Amino acid sequence: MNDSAALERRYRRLLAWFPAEHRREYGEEMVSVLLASAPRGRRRPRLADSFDLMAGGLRARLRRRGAGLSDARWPDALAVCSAALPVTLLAALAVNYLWNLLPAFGFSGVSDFYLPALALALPPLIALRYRRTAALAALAAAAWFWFLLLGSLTVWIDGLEASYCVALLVQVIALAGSSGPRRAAAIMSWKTWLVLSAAGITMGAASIYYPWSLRTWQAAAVVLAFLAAVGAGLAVTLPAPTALRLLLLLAVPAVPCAVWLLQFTAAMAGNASQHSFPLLTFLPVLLLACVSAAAAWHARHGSKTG
Amino acid sequence: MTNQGMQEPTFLILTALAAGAQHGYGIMTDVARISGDRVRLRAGTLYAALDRLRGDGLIDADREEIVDGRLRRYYRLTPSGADALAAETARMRSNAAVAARRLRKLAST
Repeated sequence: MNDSAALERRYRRLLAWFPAEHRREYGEEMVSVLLASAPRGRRRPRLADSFDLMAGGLRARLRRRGAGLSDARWPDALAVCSAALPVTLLAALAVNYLWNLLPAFGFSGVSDFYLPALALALPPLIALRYRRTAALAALAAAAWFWFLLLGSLTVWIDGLEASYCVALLVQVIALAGSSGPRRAAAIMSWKTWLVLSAAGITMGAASIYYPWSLRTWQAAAVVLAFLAAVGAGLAVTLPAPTALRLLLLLAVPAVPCAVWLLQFTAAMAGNASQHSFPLLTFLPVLLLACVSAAAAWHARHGSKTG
Repeated sequence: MTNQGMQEPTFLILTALAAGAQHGYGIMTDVARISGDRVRLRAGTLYAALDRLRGDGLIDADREEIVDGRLRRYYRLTPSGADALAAETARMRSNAAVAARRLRKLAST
């Protein structure tokens, strides 16, 4: 291979830092310019050129991602979110409830699981007719659970309850910032409902039988596989821009829940105390929630004024 | 366009294109010449800027040529690009005039 061909191959490899769309538009041109400005006989890109291409590629990706996330498609994602959270939790609740009804096991009473799930489920049901009332109901439920949570701060924080609290706040934003479940019904296909129901059923089944003997890394692999499967299911069954925003919103309650689960697994294996849920976990989650809320607000405000 | 001043590479790219349509490598060499070799644009920076300026409607593709089997695309200034360059030039001229006046005053005291 001659010097020029080797250099061109390396430049093309560096162009992978740019988004595919940018490469399609400017790739050949950039290779021409890079080769024209390289000294004769050079086989490798100059370090400064390599850094410039990497930085330029990252900037182009961030710019496109930023432009994509700040548009007016947030209300659709929020609408789907306002239906997705309760559907998933109601499916989980139903599995848990039906299992407890089985005569072989006997009804074990109302689990802690039910109340938050119902609190999440009721507002969207009301929202089919009265969306603002539903948002207020979700806000009241969130305030109540935060009150309970903060009351227990002196002892320890149950990550699962904390996750419900965050989910309720996301639900408030979803109901207030969109047309709610009515709009969701127009966007979601039966396949999306199926993915959400399957996710809820899996969560319900896990609440009945969770293999606590798993090592922490194995539990992490299971949780990641579950989240990836749900994410892929939503990405395939929803329009891509809506799916991306929806996943960002669902990550807000999912992250503390996943951390709680892993820590609980570790505690059961005797590796760590379950009484030390890391509060720091909530910092990025709260930041994410704030960014999502601000973007949603901006999109809604912008679509009204602009 | 914001009220903030234009970044220097942007100003220099628009200035290069004010002389007529040029291809990427031509813009790079012209920018170096205009700035007295002080600003040397590299391909990654140049094409990120060209993409942004096209998106903002300040420049546009003029024509394409194949030279020695390589694609060469020429870019030209659009009317709004010319307006933006004129506005930035006026702003810089006004700032420079104030600075020159005050320096003269400083020298005379």
